[in-house]
Amino acid sequence: MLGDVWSNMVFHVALSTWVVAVLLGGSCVLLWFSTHVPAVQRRLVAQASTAAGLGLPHASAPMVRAAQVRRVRGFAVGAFLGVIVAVFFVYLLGADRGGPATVFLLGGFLIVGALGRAVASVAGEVKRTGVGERVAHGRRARLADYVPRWKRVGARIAVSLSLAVLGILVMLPVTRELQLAVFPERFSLAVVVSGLAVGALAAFEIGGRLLVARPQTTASERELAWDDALRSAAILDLVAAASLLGAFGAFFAVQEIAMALQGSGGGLASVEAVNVFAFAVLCAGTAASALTSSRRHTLRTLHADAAPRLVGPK
Amino acid sequence: MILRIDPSSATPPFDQLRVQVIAHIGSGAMVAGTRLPTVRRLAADLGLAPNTVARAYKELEAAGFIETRGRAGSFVRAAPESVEQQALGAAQTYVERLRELGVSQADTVAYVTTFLQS
Repeated sequence: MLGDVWSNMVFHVALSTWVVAVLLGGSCVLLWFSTHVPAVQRRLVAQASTAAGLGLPHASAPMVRAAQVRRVRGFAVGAFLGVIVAVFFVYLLGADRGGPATVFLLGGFLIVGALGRAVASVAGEVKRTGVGERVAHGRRARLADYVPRWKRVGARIAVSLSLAVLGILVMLPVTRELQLAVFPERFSLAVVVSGLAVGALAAFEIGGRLLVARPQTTASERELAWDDALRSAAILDLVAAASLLGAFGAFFAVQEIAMALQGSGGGLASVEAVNVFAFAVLCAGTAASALTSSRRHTLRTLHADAAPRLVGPK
Repeated sequence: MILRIDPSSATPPFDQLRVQVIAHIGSGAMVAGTRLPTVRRLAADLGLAPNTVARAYKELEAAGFIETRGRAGSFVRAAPESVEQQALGAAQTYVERLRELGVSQADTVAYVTTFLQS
């Protein structure tokens, strides 16, 4: 059974789709193996130090390195699985026959990669390395201390937009006699991705608060600042996953609407135009998610008075 | 604003905690309305027993530095009157009373001096 599906996939999925899939999958494998190279690990730690704006205590370096390597490997595994799932979708839906196969593949790569990175980064923390002094925040930390407001609002808007467009898609057959032209009626990728987006947003809203509430056992303010930076990175990964899923959910819903209208002679929009528009939206969303400067957010919110002492090499 | 506990210090941990919170309030780092960490969370962060943190909070509350609002947690109260302000208030009450009694300025000061020397 599975062999039949596989042989059908090999011969029925367009060559261009396979080429893109192999390129993306290969980059995931390379990324995974690169994390075993000491020079790459040092680079990851240096990048984390720059992004967090913190000098790294020697004793905490292994914890930060482990967290960074785990994040990258989480992304690599997730992205690889995402590409496999996307190829399967492309085959099932026939999306590479006049459809957006590349966007599907890129979507699977980014979405599942972001999910994998978010899951992997949740476990990252800096623990007490000394037996002397113990430090803690003097006030109760909030989610807003770890994630900039515009990122939180952005994720909520992206998921809401996805649900709103999905609502329109669901209402179309009721208001007009439409048939989905390309995709099977009983399966909608927009529904699946939007559902995942809601799940990711819930993971951010609930999981983020649970992360913030987790005790921090550190022996210096610098260690505490590093633990805050890793928490912030983990929560930002959750936000990025929700934002990406929301953006892709909206994209797929818009595309399904356009295809439905074309199939019924509605002529509202061409698929090509929708693709261009959606690609622009996705680029903007991806760029916004990729911004790492907001990791310094914790320095501004939780360590504002000590930031000059913490910034730079120890 | 950071709270630190030195386990090797002769000062009990609850007192270290209490003094630091008062210092933060005094310096203006902790303004009125600042929400303090929960007892359990702060105890876990600092490696202390929850009772130790609870004792520090209780003494801070008794001294009027913080207040507990049920399940919402503990908050910094509006800064209590400084010692200087309280001393000035007491002096004003004393002077006004002696003026009412018709005591001269020199005698007013003399009474205080005599009382302090006795």
